[in-house]
Amino acid sequence: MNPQLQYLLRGCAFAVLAALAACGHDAVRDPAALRVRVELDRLQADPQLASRAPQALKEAQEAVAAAEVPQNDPALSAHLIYLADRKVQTARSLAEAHVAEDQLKMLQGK
Amino acid sequence: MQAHHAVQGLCAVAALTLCACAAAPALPPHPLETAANAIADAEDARAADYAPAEMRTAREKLEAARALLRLATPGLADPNAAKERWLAEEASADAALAEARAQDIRTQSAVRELQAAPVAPPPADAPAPNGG
Repeated sequence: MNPQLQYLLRGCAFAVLAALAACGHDAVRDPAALRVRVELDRLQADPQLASRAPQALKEAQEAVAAAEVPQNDPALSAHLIYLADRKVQTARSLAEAHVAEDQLKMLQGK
Repeated sequence: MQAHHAVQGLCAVAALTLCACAAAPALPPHPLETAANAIADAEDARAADYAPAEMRTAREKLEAARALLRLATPGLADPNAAKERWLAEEASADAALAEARAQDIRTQSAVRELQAAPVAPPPADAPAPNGG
């Protein structure tokens, strides 16, 4: 076989394998981490809540990013996912509380 | 002259000591301490009334972390150090969530109460709305 063609085929095979590996990484992502990511995305996409608790939201984003990093230790992975889940829920509760505070002020005529 | 040198020396030592103090990095609080503070803050906010499950989990995890710490042998590396830290971090996160939930539920119920409250009647000397 033409050596140039051989190199080209090898390169293509390598690229296909790399692409498959990248897809595989997403496919095996921990479902619990994925669920927390979905919750965070929902909060960030909510126009009423997204900007109401910026510090808590920042902490939630950092915690979710940390939880998505694959770990060799399943216990560490579970710990990071737990923290991320709690921080996303905290950010949502705080944002909802701030919205309710505004409603309260409006009702009280302030 | 000797006294002058002695004063200069003392001043130099004092200045160096002050510099060393200023440069010493502040140690981050121990996760157990942070968790205890987070639970105390949540208790102050009466979070247990609104988010009892989260508060109970927070207290249990802090207690579990303290129990692990008590097992450690002084002077030796603590084999449970990571587990203690994780438990304390989770206790802090549980307490923070309980406090946020309490704030949310309390404010929302205040809003509902105001929305459900009957409209105050007009003052007695106000003219009747139908004019008759």
